[in-house]
Amino acid sequence: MSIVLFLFAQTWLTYLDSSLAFVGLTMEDIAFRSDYTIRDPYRFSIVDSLLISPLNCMDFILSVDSTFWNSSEVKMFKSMVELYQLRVEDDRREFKEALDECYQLIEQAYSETPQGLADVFHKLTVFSPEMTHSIDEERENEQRGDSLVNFLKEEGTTVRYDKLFTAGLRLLSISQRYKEWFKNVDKRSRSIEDVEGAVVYYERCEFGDIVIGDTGKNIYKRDFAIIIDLGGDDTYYYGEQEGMIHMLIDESGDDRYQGDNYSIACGHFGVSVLIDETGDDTYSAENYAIGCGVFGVGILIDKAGDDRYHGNTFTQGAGGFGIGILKDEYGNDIYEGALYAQGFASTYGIGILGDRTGNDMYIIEERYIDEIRYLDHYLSLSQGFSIGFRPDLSAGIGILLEGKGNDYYLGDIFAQGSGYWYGIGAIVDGGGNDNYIAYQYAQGAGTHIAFGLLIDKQGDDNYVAKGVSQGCGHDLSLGILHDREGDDSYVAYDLSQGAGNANGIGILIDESGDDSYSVKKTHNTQGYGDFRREYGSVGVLLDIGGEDGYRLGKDRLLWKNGKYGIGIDWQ
Amino acid sequence: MIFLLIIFNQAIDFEKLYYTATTLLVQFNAEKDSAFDRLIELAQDITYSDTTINFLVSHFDTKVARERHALKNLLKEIGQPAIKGIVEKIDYRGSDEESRSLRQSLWVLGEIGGDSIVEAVARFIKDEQWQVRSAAYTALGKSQSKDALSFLLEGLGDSISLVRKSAYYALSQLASENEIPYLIQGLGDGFFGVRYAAVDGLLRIGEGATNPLVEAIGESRLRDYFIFKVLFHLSGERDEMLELTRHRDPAVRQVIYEGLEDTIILNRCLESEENELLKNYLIERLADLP
Repeated sequence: MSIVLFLFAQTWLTYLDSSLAFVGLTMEDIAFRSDYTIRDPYRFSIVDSLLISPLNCMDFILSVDSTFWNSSEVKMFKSMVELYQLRVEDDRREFKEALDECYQLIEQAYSETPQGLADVFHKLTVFSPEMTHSIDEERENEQRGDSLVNFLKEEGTTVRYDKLFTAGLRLLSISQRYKEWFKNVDKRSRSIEDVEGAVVYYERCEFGDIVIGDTGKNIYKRDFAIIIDLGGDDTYYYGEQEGMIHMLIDESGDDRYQGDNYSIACGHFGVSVLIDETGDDTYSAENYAIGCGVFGVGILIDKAGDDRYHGNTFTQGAGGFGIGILKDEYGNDIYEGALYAQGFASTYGIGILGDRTGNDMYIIEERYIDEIRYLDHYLSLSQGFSIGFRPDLSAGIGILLEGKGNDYYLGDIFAQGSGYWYGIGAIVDGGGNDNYIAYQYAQGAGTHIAFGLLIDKQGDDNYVAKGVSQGCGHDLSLGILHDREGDDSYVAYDLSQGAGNANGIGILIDESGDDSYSVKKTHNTQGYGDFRREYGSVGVLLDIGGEDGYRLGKDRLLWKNGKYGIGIDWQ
Repeated sequence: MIFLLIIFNQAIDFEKLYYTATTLLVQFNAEKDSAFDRLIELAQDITYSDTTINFLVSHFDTKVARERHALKNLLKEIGQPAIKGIVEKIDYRGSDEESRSLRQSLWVLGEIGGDSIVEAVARFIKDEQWQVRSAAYTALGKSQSKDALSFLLEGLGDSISLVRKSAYYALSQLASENEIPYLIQGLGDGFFGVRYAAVDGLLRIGEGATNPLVEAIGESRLRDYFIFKVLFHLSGERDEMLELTRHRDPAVRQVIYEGLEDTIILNRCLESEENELLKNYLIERLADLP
């Protein structure tokens, strides 16, 4: 696999190298530094190394994609933990012994953590959609934000992440081999409080209650530590999760998962794993839910069915000071969120949303107005996006991995492979005719010392954005949009399609197919680099094959836009 | 009198004006502009000038990027009268290792420019932090003061590329024919920021750089690219340069074609050019020329 990736990388890298020469640049010029500011303790070391060799980010993201789809979930999780420069191992203990051990590990993980940490993170990331009323209010919010961030910076290190992630790995492992234990338990039909429908096993343990529901319809009215449901169209009502361990296995049926905050595979100061084997399911919650890890690990795996996921903020593969994963294997699915959703990472977080097949829709609702830039556009901060707390805390790694299918992505500001402040945001879409629609900072956009990548491997795709998009790097950042195959259409207004701004590097690579490149403003698009801090930014539009149409260029032609911007249609 | 001044100053809520002038929110843009203008007005009023400037300088340590930009814009607008207040506080590096206050001082002094900033700024060209050295060289260049020239040479060999870039930028602003060898050396630097700064410097020097540049052709592909980039701007099409349209490197040939304006020569180049990209480039170029 790695050899194939290497050979593949060689092709476009060779073309890029040759293209840069026409503006007097070399591959060594495609570099940043990792010490523009003092390093905070939460920055991923991979970000430091990618700043030195930014183009390696392509191999990095493709290796994450490959591991996610081709390895076991346990191995995939271990590879994520390695990004924290930690190693975790599974010791495959017997079911209940392993759960007891998980519980102890989690207790150890938070033994020195102050109470206020949960509240602080909540206050920083969940807010009202109302606009700010006055400048005084803006200042008060800022001052409060500063003090919360300082607390977070100080106390975030008190969590023993090695213990936490070991517990996450062990629970994930248990969830995959629960049947060994299950076949030997004494199963007798009974009814218990807070569960409608028959239950075949119930036990109280130190870490919480274990419930096994039978093959008929069940309604679970509260959260239990361990639920194994053997079938039927079930409903799960969550209160806010209180325990530190949650594991839910649903073996079949069209199920409904209904929660509020901190629910549905949410690891919030704990670990949570939810596996739904088959059926058309609905997952609905508010904030911190549906494959979310906040000072914890939350993993949701839905193996089949046409599913609908609905949340508000911090949802659908979202991690901050922890790991959040949502993996959906088969079916045509709909994902809806409003902010920090769909492969999102905050500080010291990894958030991954992976969907293997099906025609899927990724929708970010317009709820939180972007009052810094517009009165009529909305923050998305989603769909392969990562942001930290500038200038104090680095971002994390937020990735949306799409396998096959004709997919639809809708966002507004900051979406679809976008990173902000020492982090990485990326989408990898494997195949299908896809539609990407956003407004700004999207579709391979890095902003303020960060990486934003969009890699689309196959299909006739449409990319629509207003600006700072489609391979745009702003402020010492790298933005890459790399489309490998298909007849694609790129539509933008300004500062897009291979645009570097404020010493950023923006690259749009289209390897093959008959493509159309449309822009309104020609002075800062299609291979453009501006001049800032007494030197240049780099912008490259690289089309390697096919009969294409441009606003600025032509087939088999090179053109320059500014001193450091180059567009080349090679063949 | 002092008592009255204190009363006057107290009546002006500088903090409020500052917050308003640096608001991030688009719906308060009108208030922002008005607060910005008011701060300038106060700085230009003899009664409030010192107080206003000292107040603004006291915020140099801010961590917020938009405040740093607003402070730069405010003090640039205030201009020369602000220099004294900034220089008085320049030794305060800031509250942590980022040295934000010092870097802001250097940035703002550069933006104001002039002979009077050189001495204060030049003290920092050997600073242990590369960001400070870089800011100092940039400020020296922006000063547009010939007094700064003698401080620049050391920075041209700095191990940090961004510091070299700033030193070359400064040199590009101030260089005379004496500095041509340094600038030609910069054309082959490993960092493009340096190479392009050297180009600007040589273009600024003008015709006097032509012969040394011609003599330097052939040492490296990268340097040749930039030599031609400068030469065609300086002296048009010279016979000895036209011979080099057969340079083996397509990027160098392209930059030569970019500089040529004689359609007869360009047509001759088109006939001999084998690279399809460059052929098409020449066709387009010929079509654009009168």
